[in-house]
Amino acid sequence: MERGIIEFEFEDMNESVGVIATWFGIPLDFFDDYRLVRTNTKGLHIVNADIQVENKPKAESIGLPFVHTNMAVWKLTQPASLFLGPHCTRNLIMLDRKQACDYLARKPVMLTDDNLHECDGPGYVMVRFGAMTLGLAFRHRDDPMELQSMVPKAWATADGVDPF
Amino acid sequence: MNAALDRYRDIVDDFQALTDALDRPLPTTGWVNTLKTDAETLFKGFEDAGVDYSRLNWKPDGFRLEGVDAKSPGRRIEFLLGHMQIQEEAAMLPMYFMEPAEGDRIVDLCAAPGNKTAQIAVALRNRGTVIANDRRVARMRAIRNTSDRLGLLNLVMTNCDAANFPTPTERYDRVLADVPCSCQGTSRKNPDALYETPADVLHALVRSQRAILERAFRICKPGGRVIYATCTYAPEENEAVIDDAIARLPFEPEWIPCRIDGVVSSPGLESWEGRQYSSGMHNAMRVWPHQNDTGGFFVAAWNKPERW
Repeated sequence: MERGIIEFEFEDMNESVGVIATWFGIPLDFFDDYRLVRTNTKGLHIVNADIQVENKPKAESIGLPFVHTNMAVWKLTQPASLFLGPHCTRNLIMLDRKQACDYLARKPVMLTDDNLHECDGPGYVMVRFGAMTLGLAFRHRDDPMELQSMVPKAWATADGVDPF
Repeated sequence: MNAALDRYRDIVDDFQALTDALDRPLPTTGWVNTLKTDAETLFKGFEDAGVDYSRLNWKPDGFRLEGVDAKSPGRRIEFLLGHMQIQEEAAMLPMYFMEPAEGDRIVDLCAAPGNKTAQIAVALRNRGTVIANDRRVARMRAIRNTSDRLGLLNLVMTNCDAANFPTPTERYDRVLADVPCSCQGTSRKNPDALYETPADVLHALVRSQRAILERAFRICKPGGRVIYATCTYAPEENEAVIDDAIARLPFEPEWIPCRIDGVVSSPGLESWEGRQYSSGMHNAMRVWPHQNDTGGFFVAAWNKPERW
């Protein structure tokens, strides 16, 4: 190890991403080139395995916000959802244009039976429009045909806007 | 006639063309985030959606938007999902001379708002290490937003004074010093930028620019590369800063000829208002707004010698 380079205590990858990888059908070896770093109490960031961080100057932020851990069920961040989305094979919902616009505007998305092919049940799903991953959504147990958009406010479109 | 502009009359190839260009709005340009998609897919999407665009002739993943999408590119789905980044065409130029290698450790000393940092991180294919440093905390939020949207993993953000960047010497493979400047070259976007910089302000800027460039040379590894860039026309902030900084170095950096096929440019000045600059200055690149219908920009690049 070169002098001045911090040796991070990386999070255990299986423990941290195992459930997420299984739920979304992503092979665990996909994560071989990456590491997870805890930079604060709220969540983990994902970095490339060969990143080198010096002890000086102090790093204010590292890599991409990956998952919020300060909740009962860990939740992928929007940047992480966009990063992982193309590799998901399960719990994946294809939206039509109207649904996609609603999703991006953080409005409830009404699902059809055709939307539910690859879903295991209530919980997080990844949503796509065509070849584009749009992000994360949630299906509630008491209303599984309605999708709650998880698009952060700062990333959302204005109501009625069609960004396509 | 704007006095701030008139002083450059003798060093511009076509002064009338320059003033005409400054009266036109700045085109909206950007590049494809090849971490998330590829140029052909993005451009096919543009065509399917009826987006009026053209490709940049010097940069395969670069484009120029026209019409309604040029006015609000941030509303396009490709922007929201991080498949493209909007950046002024002239500001894309420094990256051309970076030539990063796999696993490189690169620092962008004055990184906000982070577009050039993002270019570097994407060029490294999310490998290696890119330090995005900026002195102003408030401006670092812009880097964070860009990084999150584009999906950059190899970014480390630091908040330090670039002129005193606290790292051991000879640490980085590439160093970008895109220094704070009087920003005269951005006047097509911000007309207030074209003013005569007060002497005390200019003096402080120049002192800071010189210190940052010197620091850039010192933290660069032997055989590594240093790039200096500004978005101003002022020779005091370009050629003079370089001349003074190089004179203080204990080694002679090797100039990189900064020319790009498809980009019209002028060489760096070898003299200005009676002062002679170092003989390598013609290798620097001056881009005037009328030459490529862009903003104004200045770039110079060097390799640090292997032994000194």
